[in-house]
Amino acid sequence: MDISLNIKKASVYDEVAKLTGYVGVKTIEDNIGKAYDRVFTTDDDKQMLERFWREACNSSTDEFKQFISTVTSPSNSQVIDDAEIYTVTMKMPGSFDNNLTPSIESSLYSYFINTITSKWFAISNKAETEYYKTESSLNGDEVRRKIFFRKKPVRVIPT
Amino acid sequence: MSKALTITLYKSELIYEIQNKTFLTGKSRETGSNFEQVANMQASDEDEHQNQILRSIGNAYDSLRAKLSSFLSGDEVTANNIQIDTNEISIVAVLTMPDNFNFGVSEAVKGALHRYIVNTSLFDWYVIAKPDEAKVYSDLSQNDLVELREALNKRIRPTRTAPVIVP
Repeated sequence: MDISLNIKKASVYDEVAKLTGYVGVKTIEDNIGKAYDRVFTTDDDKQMLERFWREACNSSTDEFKQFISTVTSPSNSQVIDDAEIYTVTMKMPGSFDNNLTPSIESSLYSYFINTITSKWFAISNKAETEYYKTESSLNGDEVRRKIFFRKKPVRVIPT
Repeated sequence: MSKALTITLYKSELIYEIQNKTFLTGKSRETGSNFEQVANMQASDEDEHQNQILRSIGNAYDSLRAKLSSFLSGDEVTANNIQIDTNEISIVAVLTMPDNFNFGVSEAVKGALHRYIVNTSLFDWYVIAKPDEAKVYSDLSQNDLVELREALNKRIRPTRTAPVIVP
């Protein structure tokens, strides 16, 4: 059984921007406005985010490697392409539950957002780093739990 | 005079029991973080799993044939090591039993043969997938052999035929 997971970079970056912007606004500091400027990811930060995106792609590929049929990789890793989609196609065993595929994709999407955010906060907002790192780790566990879940075998009565 | 005891073991039933036992064992060994190990313990329809199981079933059956040689006859003079055929529906053992064999225990013979093949295959499986679970299946397969021998050696008591005395 083949399954395909797709993660859109633009969508992940949007979520990271929303998340970091919201955390920036809600962070109370003495110099009003400073936290937002420091924490929010802007287009100028994309060089740095690109590396985090690439690391998230690589760790996902590493996690899925035993099942992978095909996986996308950038034609030129030095060029930033916002339209990039990380697509991994996997050959799963017959006892894999295909009903879980959308949920795996959703957990993987959260993993990308939280892992990129945690790495970003390691630079811009250390106090929040651990929380997002833990979240990304939990998302990774969710993905694994679903990928490795197996349906019960079905008895075929001999005729 | 001898009689034939034909035992048919359906491969799908053997495979299902092996898969089901490994599925239930894996499920009961879940710790909440060992997802991959549990999946690897559960024999599925993946090619490498199927090949391992079919090879084990074939090996167990070969071993049984050696143990049951005194009840088998055949004139095959060639053999090969090709794995049993995936499309083959069943394994048929035709045992040549003595006239006084108690055919009432045929079901026991069938049960012991089935269990021996399943337990031996599970032993092979767990040696690879979870070695600490393997020995119990080796022990069980030895018990199955004892039960098989016991069943095969059941004999009906002789019946006396009173001679007809012609005056």
